[in-house]
Amino acid sequence: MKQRILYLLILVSMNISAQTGGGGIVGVVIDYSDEEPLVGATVFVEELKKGIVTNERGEFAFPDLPTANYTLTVRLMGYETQPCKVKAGKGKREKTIIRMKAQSQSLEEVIVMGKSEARKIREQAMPVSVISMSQLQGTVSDVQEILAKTVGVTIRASGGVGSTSRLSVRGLEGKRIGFFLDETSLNDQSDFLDINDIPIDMIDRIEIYKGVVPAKFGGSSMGGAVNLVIKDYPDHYADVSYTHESFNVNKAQTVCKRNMKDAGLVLGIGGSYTYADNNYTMDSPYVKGLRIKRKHDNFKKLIVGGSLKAKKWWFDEVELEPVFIDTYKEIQGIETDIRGAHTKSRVYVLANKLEKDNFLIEGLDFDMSTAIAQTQYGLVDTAKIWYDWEGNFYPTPSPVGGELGTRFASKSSNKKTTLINKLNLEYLLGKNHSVSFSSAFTLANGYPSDPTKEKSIGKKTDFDSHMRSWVGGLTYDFRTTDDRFLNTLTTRMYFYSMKTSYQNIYTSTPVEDVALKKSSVGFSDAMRYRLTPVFMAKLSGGYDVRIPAENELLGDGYTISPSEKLLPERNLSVNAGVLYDLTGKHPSNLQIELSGYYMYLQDMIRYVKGILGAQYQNFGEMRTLGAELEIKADVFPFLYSYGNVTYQDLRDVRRYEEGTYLPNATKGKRMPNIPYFMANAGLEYHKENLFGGKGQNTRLFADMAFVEEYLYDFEITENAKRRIPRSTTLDIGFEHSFMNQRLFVSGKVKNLTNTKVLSEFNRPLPGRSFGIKLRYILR
Amino acid sequence: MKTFKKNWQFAIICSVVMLLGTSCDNNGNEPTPNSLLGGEGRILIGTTVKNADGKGGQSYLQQIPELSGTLSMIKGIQIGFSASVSVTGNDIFVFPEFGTNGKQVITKFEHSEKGLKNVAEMQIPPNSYPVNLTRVSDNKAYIPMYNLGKVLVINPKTMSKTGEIDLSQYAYKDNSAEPAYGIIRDNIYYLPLDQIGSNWMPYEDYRQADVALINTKTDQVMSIISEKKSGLCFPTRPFLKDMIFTTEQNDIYIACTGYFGYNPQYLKNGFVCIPAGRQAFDESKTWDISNTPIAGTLYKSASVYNCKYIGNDKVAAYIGVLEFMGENPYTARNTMAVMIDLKAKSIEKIDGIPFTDGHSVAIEYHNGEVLFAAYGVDASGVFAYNPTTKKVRQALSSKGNIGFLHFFL
Repeated sequence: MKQRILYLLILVSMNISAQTGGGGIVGVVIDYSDEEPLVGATVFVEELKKGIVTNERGEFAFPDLPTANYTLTVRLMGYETQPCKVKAGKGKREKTIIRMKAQSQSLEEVIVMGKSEARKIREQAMPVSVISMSQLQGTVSDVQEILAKTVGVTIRASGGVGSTSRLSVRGLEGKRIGFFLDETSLNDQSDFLDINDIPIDMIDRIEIYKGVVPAKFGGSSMGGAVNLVIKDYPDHYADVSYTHESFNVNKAQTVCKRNMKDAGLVLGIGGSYTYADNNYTMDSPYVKGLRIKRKHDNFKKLIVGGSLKAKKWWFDEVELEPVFIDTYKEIQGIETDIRGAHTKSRVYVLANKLEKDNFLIEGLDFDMSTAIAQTQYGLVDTAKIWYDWEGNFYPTPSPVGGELGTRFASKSSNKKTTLINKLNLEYLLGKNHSVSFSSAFTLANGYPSDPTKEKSIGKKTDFDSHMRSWVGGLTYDFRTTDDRFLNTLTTRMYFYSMKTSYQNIYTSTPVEDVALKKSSVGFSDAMRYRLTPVFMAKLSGGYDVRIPAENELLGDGYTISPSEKLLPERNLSVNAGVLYDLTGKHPSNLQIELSGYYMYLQDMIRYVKGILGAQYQNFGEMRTLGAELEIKADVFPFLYSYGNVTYQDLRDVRRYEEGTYLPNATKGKRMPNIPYFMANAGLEYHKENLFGGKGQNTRLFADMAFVEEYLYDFEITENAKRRIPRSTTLDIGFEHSFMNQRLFVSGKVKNLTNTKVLSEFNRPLPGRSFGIKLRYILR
Repeated sequence: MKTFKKNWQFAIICSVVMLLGTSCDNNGNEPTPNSLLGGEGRILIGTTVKNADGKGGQSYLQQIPELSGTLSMIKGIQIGFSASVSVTGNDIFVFPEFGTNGKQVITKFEHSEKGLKNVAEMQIPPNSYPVNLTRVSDNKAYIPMYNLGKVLVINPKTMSKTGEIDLSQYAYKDNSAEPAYGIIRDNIYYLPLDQIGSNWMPYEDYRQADVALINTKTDQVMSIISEKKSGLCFPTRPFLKDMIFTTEQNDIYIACTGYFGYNPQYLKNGFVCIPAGRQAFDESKTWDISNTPIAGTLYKSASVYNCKYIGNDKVAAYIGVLEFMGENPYTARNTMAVMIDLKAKSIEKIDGIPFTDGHSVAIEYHNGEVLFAAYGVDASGVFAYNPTTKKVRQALSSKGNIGFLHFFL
């Protein structure tokens, strides 16, 4: 109420000051919920094509306007559209208060851009990139494609939809890059649930932490983490979409939410079904001139999930989520024409989340999530003949079968039980101080079974396993009253144990019992200093430990062999950066961020290929120096543009060969199979009612991705180096919405120029492809 | 101010449009055809820089003028990891990575003292594991395909296939008899068969040494002969040419690796013999060396990893020592250099040569010296042993594993 009076006073004062001039419109833009003035909102008079930015008190004024009815368009990122029709009379100043609702889709007559959750997170002390909903909305891209446009991030794909792909942040990849859904770790399920399985339309924003990862994310990540934050939905909401892309890729997704306010319950149900042939044609990397049509890369995935959120069950929020995931994936051959081998999995998850502010005592915030998952998965590789690409067939080396080149057959039926519990307790000591305790416990019991493999090899090589891990973290946050300085100090304790058995596949030595217990300590500190309201500097550093993931230790039951004796990785890192941010303060919303970092990684866990399958191995020591530059801006009110450049120099710094006093032949050499120079750029044109009509919006976009030629191996010789070629790809697309953002039609051409793109180890990726998406929202 | 604003807007648009429009092509450094690569010299040397686990890495082939100093790999031609190499005359044949991975071609280089010329490539069935070539004549050579259980007959001049010998019917339990490294004597190609299971080890219920006898005129299998009495198995490793050799009397000796020392129940290893003039084993000449003390040590041989016949019944060899097996067969320093006397049935350790790992077991005999490639814990390179003086000197040091040596005339 006090604030309402204040705004009326402001309006009165504006009116008084404006009485010296002619007729016009004056006003103030405020937040709908807290009535805080919104700084930097762009107010645009549509009829006159004239715009202005609100000042530090959220005010704007258009003096001397001709008498007419005007439509004001207000842009502030992260806020909902509010219709605003204003009449200006001669000699009269029309006063208006524009209240903007946070976080929604915009557009009718008012477009939105401004200080949002995304910006707040970006201003945290941790090095973090945030991709907000406005950057995700409506495109046919999947999450990985969006991440790939982010500075310092690359995707290590190996094929089409459903194929193995790994996220790489600052050159570190695989399991060490945490994958979280609303802060709940999905790393232990990442062989079954891919980051792309989360429908983009459900995502509010993506947070990408680089270098230092907050303690609340537990200890399963190091060097980077990706947190997908799911949207809060309105009271009634239904969202249905269908996407069709080249190579017969089909995706159908739906989400329905019902908010029963009186009962304090929110019910939701959703799901997706993906079917892909992935039958693109590729050049064989091994046979010159051979073109191969991929015919055995079929992928099917069904995800069904529900949610019950209660807001009146003592806790502020209690959430229960059952999820079911069913996956079938054929294995595409490259060296040989694989025709039968495939994998399948079923995952049942029950997740629970509890939140309560002022838990037991005033100032203590409680946040706990627990998930239990039961997984059944298996590889079927029982073909008794295998084919080359000329159609010739040969008997498999083992009479039991097996066309994957492993010399043994498989028909596994593995089971795994996982329990994850994450607890965060935050206590506000005062206006400037808070402490928090975080705990992440993981239990993973594996029960492999593959009698066919045992028959092939003549002995059992996969055994039951029991892994436990716990990471405890203590964080102290300090923030100055004027918010100029922010510091986050964290210390962590790591424990893990593993109990299983080991049998060397080559040798006939007795089965060996493995019982490991490890513990370690890590710490980090991150600080942010705001030099001016728009210019801030960040500095962070830490010594982090990452416990090997359960499937790194035990393999995947398919082609990754167990590696029970893996040591935890340890990483010393320093990150420094500056951010110039005019978001909400200038019509350009210009953001320029420059970061540099240093990492020294010991016992790096690396994915390597051997003759009897792949395996995770510790790799001595590696040093990384890197720099990233990112620029984003609304160049014009209708044109958004971004560009970023990443340089990451990862070098082997081992002095000696493993277990010897011999000098390391690759000391100082650049790490192979990791890109070291990448750039992205893009333009997006957006316009309301471009083709006439009402309630329509059009976006046209073009995205370029460049990856410099990089090394296949450590480069030792000056002759005929094996390299993965440089690639430049261009994607273009459009999105058109009707009925005030209820109906969307979007389309995209990926790799417009049909550039040949090879991933790590020269795996061929799809060429040009087309996609179209229809989406309808009922709210 | 307005001008500035327009300028920055224009600059951003231009930069983005330039980036979007940039099209770059760079397909790496392909070697120029007919160029001479691999350095100068008459010594052909193969090196491997392996990953920490020894299961992967990269390998190089190059020429050097002499064995001295420290080897630089900068002139090396990159070949597949642990790719095997066969040499006949001035022709060099390089096989696929680990026999199975990567490009499925056999590459032929031509040696000259000035360098190596890539002259031809031959496509082969994927995953077939061709690992050696035995010359029959100028126009004919045999290439056993370990995984397919067949022998590819080719014309090495044209690098084209001229025939195929199918040995799959002689396979025990599975579909390939795993033809390893053969030798030609009296127009018969004596081709040992390893008969291994899915774990790359011999079947425990089939511990014998099989050899296929193939008529080099007709390419027909004449017979399969077996030495069953001794329990010696795994005759020849498929990428090591000197594990089958003839003596001055034209007796064929075949070194049997057994279970590489990784099956404590079956440690038998040694030599079987097909005497001159016969097409059958002479079991009286079979020698299981697993029970023979190694002079100068307390150890016994658990496996023959490689050998080189140097005349007068003397064989320079690398043998596996059970006590040093370790967990990882690719990196364990479990390999000891020894001299074996076939006549005296004695084995003697050669002092001064470091215990080596599985990637450096090459042995050559040149100018009266036995040259052992070794990759020890504190020294690596080529070590020269003089059988007369019994002295050892380090002839060449190297950062990588030396896995192959050949001296051109």
